[in-house]
Amino acid sequence: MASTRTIRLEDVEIGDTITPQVRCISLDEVTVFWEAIHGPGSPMMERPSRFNSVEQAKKEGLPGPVIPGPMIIAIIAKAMTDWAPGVQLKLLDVILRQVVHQGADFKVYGIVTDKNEGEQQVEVDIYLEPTEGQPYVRGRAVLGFPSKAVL
Amino acid sequence: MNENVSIDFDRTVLGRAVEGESVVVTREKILAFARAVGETNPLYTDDDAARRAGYPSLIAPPTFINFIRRNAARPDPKIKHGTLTFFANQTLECRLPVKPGDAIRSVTSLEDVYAKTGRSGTMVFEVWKTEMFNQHGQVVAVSRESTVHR
Repeated sequence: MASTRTIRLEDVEIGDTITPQVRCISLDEVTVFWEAIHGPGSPMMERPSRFNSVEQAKKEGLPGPVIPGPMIIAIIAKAMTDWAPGVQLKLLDVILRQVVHQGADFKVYGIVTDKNEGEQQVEVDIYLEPTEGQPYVRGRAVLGFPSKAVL
Repeated sequence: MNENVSIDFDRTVLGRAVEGESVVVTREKILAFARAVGETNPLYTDDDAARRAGYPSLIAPPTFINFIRRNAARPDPKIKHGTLTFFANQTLECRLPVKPGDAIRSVTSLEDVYAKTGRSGTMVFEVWKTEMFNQHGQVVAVSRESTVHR
């Protein structure tokens, strides 16, 4: 959920944590996402694929259905902009190191690694990882702050 | 490290810019995308909150642009490697907010095809660049996206 508190650039320090969000994505949520992208009755969800079929996922060497990459990217972007509503996501650069499985908890968060008052922006390292184990995704974001506090 | 291995694909696709059809952004599409991702940020769901922040209306979440990118026709480079393809990486530069009524046109091209070898064998990456323009000819976003074949 988006934070309702105002965060100004002057409040941010290098090392601050972008509030972690724990998510667990279901097949229904994946279906809604594909329909938002491709419209109802998306062939992506009508034919068996690694996104909607346990059997197909297993044929591809996966233990079960996975979350589509563009949905993971949207979830990461949401975590970044929820942290300080009003911030603009200027850059998102993510590498998916492993597939992310449906029905399993994962945590997405960031750490502020740089702050540029002239540009009114911060740089953030991004992490998306299971509650235990190796990270699924690593990345970087640049978040721009409005010149005055809003919302 | 990139490797100088021979990759079988249609090299005529490399560097050829392809223009997609213009997509008109509607409030309904933005709200459907926001709902699908679980967005509660009022900039993406509430006109009044967005106006207070200086926008003319609600705006699209930043990765909404992937909805438009995915509607852009890409020529098939016919990469003959492996049996599976996975989304590997995206670098998304968001330059201007996208709002209802915008007509977004995309121009996409295959920038690179390269191979890497790791423990699980050789993987082939295809890298696409897509620029998205609004009805004023302004670049609203630039995406670079890699897909891995293995």
